[in-house]
Amino acid sequence: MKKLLAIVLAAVMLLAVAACSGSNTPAPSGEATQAPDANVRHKIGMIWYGNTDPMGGTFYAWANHAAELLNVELVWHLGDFTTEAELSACEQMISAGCEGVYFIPMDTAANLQLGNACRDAGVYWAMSNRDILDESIKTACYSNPYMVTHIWDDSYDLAKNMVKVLADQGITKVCMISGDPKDAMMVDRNKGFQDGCAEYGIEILGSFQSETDAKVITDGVSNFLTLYPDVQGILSVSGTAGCAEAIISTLEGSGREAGSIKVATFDTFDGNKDAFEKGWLAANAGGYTSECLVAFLALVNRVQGNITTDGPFKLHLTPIIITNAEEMDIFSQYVDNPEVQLYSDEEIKGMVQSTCDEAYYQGVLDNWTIDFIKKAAGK
Amino acid sequence: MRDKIRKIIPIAGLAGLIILFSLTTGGKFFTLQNAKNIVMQASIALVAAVGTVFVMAHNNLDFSLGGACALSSVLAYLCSGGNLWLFILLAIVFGVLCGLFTSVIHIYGRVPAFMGGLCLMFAGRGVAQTATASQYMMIAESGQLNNFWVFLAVAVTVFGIGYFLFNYTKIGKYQKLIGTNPKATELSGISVNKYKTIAFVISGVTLGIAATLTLSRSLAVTGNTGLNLETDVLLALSLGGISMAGGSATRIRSAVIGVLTYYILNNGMLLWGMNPDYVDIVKAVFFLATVSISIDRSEYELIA
Repeated sequence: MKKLLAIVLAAVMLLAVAACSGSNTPAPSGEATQAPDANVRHKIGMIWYGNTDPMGGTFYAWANHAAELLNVELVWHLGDFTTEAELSACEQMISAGCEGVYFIPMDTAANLQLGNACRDAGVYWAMSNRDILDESIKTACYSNPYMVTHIWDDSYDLAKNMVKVLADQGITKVCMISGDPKDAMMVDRNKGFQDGCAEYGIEILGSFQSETDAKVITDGVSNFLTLYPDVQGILSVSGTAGCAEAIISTLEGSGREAGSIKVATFDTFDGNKDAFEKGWLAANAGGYTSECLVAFLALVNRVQGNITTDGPFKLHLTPIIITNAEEMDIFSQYVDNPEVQLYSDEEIKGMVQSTCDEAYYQGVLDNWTIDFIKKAAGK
Repeated sequence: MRDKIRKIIPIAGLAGLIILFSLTTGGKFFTLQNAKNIVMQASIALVAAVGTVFVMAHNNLDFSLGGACALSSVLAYLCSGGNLWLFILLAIVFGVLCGLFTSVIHIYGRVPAFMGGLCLMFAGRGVAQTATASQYMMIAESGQLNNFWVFLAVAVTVFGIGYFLFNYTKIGKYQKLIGTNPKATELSGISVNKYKTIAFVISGVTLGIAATLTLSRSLAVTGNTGLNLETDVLLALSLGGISMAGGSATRIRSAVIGVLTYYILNNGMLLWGMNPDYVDIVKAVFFLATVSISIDRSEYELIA
């Protein structure tokens, strides 16, 4: 037994020591030097939070479809919620031979750590859905020749506009479910709600922080209803992972008249059309999938050697606010549906061309409106 | 014979995985870079697992690891003012204090240690979430430690010291004695409480080191620092064939075997490019198969 253990440990040590004697030789430059070969099947690593909620499932399906169309192999790693876990996944993807890595950073520092790992290995990387809070990290990332995209969404104005929807319906007292103040996106959402309430004369009666724990949301909303019986609305920075469903079901189970409390929440969710029809839901913001897709396709474009630039594409998206059941129905059917490819094959191929530059990709994101969705859906 | 098979399964499982992935990943598993990755990724859990073995040897479980890691990291950051070397020292100090907290709850409160650990896990996570909400706790220099040699040196040193303490000193031997029969150990003049406390202190030291390694990977302390550490460590130790009842059957080698098995399994499945929907299922099946064969059932003989 001990001999066997010794042999295995010795083998591992030998491997480890041998590992140290190797050298990483990244590509000398981030710029492509050879003409792209359409027959080469490139491999891209996808660090993704999960594929069970509408956005997660939709992007998972969209990316798989686009990969098939563009002759790209994807390696997925789901469920990483810390920088350390994302870094481990990134390192393994590099070992697996991925030439590009896409991720949503769980923390600002993740950009630096994963970016450095990719740079050292000569692997391109693209991120989306988050701003980079720390200026020194942002500078370091922007000078990383392998960074392809930095896409963030305009959550601040969006949050303020959601508050305006409530204000227009006569709401004056709300409770707020806030997000992690060190998460770049949540900072914008928190501040947007707070500034929106101040601007439109809405009082925030109470708040607690939770983004992904439906049970905490259920308990918290129950507490709101008990502590503040005069509450008229609930603002939530996150509806993902069952959180929005938890808010609506708690309200429905409270015994209050349907629609007597209005909810404005980020992230589309299952049952949102019904919630609009019953009057509980006043505003639902969503549609972040498009920025994930653009980041992914820009990464494919760079990995395939179609484009070369001196720095990353810096892009932003204004997500969509839905305020009625009809539009929600269309959104659910054509955006939050992994079975539907909203972007046509031609549009996807069009986003992986040598002519695609920063302005082109920004145009794709600017075109992301409910009217675009209606048109794409033939409505 | 059955006992021999039970003992050999964890190491055979590890060897089997290494062979399997070597043969089926098109050479990607046996690359220099991949070996580095596995060593670095496994080091944090290995360091934490070494301390946990001491606690498990006297028949206790420590569920505080993740929360305690977050708590000690936050406190170390606040007290060090972002100085890396001071952070390392303080992370160990606060790790030890976390261990002492659990042992005090266990010994003087006369409740199972896992309950104290659970309290610490929730409290630690809560404090970390609250504290990191008001400021961004980044120590950029910690990235210098995110280096293969550093991780290898730390993991080997911690395991080496742990191996020595566990097998060749009273500290380790008494843990196994206590796990086997605490009453008889007490009657033989050994201070059970003292040695239990020492086990939690050792666990705290390794936790502090694990917190430092975690920082070097993530650069910043966040509310999610150390997330799932307790699960990873306990799963790995189970895969390594550790005795769940503690006592003389406890082997510190379970830490290195289990942690390597756990991380090589994760690594190999990604190298395969396995459909992510099946990854957790495969992990569960492997875990169930390994543990169901290797677990010591003598303690469950009375279950009908």
